[in-house]
Amino acid sequence: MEQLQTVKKFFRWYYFNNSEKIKAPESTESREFGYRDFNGNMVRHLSFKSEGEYRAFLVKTVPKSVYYSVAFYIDPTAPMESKGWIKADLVFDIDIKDVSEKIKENSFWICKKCHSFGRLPAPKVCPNCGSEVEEVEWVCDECLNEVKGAALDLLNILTEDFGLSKKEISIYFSGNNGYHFYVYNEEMRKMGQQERMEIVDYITMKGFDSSVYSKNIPENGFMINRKRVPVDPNVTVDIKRVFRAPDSLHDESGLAKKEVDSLESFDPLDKAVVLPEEPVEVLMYYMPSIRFKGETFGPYKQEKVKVPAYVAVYAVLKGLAEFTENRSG
Amino acid sequence: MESFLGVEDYAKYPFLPESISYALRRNPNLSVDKIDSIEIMGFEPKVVLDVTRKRLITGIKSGVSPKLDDVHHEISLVSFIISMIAVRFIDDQVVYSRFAIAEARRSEGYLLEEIEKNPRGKDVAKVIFEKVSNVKLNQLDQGFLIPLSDFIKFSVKGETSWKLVNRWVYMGNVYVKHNELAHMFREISMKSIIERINKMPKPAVKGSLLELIKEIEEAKPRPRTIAYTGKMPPCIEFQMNQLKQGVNIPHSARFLLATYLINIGWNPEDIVELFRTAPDFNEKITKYQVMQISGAKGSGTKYMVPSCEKLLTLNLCKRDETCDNIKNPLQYGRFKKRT
Ligand code: SF4
Ligand SMILES: [Zn+2]
Repeated sequence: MEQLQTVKKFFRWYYFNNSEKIKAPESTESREFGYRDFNGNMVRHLSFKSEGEYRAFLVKTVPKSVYYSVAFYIDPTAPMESKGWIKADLVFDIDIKDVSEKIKENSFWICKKCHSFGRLPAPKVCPNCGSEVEEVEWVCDECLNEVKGAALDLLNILTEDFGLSKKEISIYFSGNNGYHFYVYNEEMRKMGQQERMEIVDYITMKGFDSSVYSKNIPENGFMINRKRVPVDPNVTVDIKRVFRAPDSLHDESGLAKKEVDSLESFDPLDKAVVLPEEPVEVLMYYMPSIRFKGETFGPYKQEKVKVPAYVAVYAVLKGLAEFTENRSG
Repeated sequence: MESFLGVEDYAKYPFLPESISYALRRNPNLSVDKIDSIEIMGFEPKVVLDVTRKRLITGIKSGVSPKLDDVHHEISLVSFIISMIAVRFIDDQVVYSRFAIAEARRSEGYLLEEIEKNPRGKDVAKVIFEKVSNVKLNQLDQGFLIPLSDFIKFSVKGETSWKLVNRWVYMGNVYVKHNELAHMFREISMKSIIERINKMPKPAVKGSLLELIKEIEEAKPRPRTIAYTGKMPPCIEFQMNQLKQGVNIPHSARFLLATYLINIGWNPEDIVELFRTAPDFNEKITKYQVMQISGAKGSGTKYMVPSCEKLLTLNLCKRDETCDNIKNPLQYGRFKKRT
């Protein structure tokens, strides 16, 4: 708990210093907001009248994570059945574990108590002390590039197959290991679950039958290069979902959900790093090496190190380290 | 665009908004109580009523309204409007759908002729389609391009070939062949006719129109009610209810119903009865298909009920908590604990 209070201190620093830059969604007043606090409680059905009100909330509450609905409602604070659904952004979620084989090689388990660790697959309980173990997904440049490749493929489908203009699409680094896409096209915003399922099946190529497909190509029509992108179907089809808010901090990494200007050149472990540089001492149980802002940290094993706050928070939230002094408050 | 279509087109596609407004403009005193005295282009009221009778009875019995090419276009058009009044009076969703699909099929036939005829025909078909659907099309050699979201809206649900994943999609458009466009046209027309009838106030009918209505009521499909016991899985219940309401369910749903019911021991005649309320019911074809599925005709092998997984991809699964972890609708209820 104390560890999390220290994390909260850094989150507060971020929201306090950046609130002016945090954007509220289009039609803020029609969205449902929700957040999780540092005690783990989830609160939903909130609404804010303006960007100012939303920013003030972030600074005052300092949520562990914050979300808002893809949907626009008549009354966002009403119970689910009576909110009055108007339309919803079409969204896609690409997660690294569905894309990359490499991530499985890098990932590992760590014991929550004695901090033994090892390669996957994880044992049921720690072989050393019998306590619960946790799996940790560990990213490297290679697997981040793989997920970026999938994001580029999705962007191609949206712009070339679906004919959307880049202005109708926003891409965000999810704040942890994936990408979130938003489509702001009015025709698509009106689509219901079944219609969104058709879109998802197209992208994931579920139910694809090449002999049927080949009969549906126009005479003299050129071949379209079909690529499968494993977006999460549940995210796209759920038209009442609350989705992590752009510019907010991810509760499993301390990185920000950052808008991507150009996918090709986007480096999440640089652009999404927003917590302070200020050196902090942590006890690293175990941390494989990782590169932030072009600088490599680790590997560390059972050692006290002074690292920038963003590295410390990242390691603590992954369950790999603890702050050595109580810095809350 | 108004001048692009003429009275001949209005007679072919009488449910277009502009066809109806044309008819009402030409016959300002066309109202229920004047039907017995309506004269069109010098023809007696009886002629108009006879055409209406032919249109309705043939349509409802056979599933396709007659073309009426030998009838004056103005009369043909008015007979459609009187038909709608009669159908509205009967106040029965099964008759609405049956009439609507018969009319939609009639116009679909014209649309296909149009496309095959000459280059101008394709333009006409395009305009007609756009007017009934509010969708903008692009013309290609062998088909049309239709905007993605409209394709999804109007595609035939539950058919592999209509799933977006199996379509050629480029720059926000989906390629559809002529016959597919005609199919969508039929579905859209049918819906728009039903909508229009539903919006009409119930007319107070008397005179010879009332007699005509009696004839239609006799012509309408009358399924025997089949008593069955035992709870059906949600996917089956759903399609049976759709059928009862006169909804035109997709072929994959009919296949599901037929295989399922045969496998739980229904006899083929009862299954044919069940399909009688389908707006496009054709006794001979349905009998043949059901017999084939039952293994009594054709290859002699009984067809399998599609798996739940397959039904899910066809959008036919309506899983609820009563489905437990079953893999096939036939397992429904079998694993349920008795209380
Ligand atoms: S789970 Fe199987 S039985 Fe249940 S609704 Fe779906 S397809 Fe039907
Ligand atoms: Zn241990």
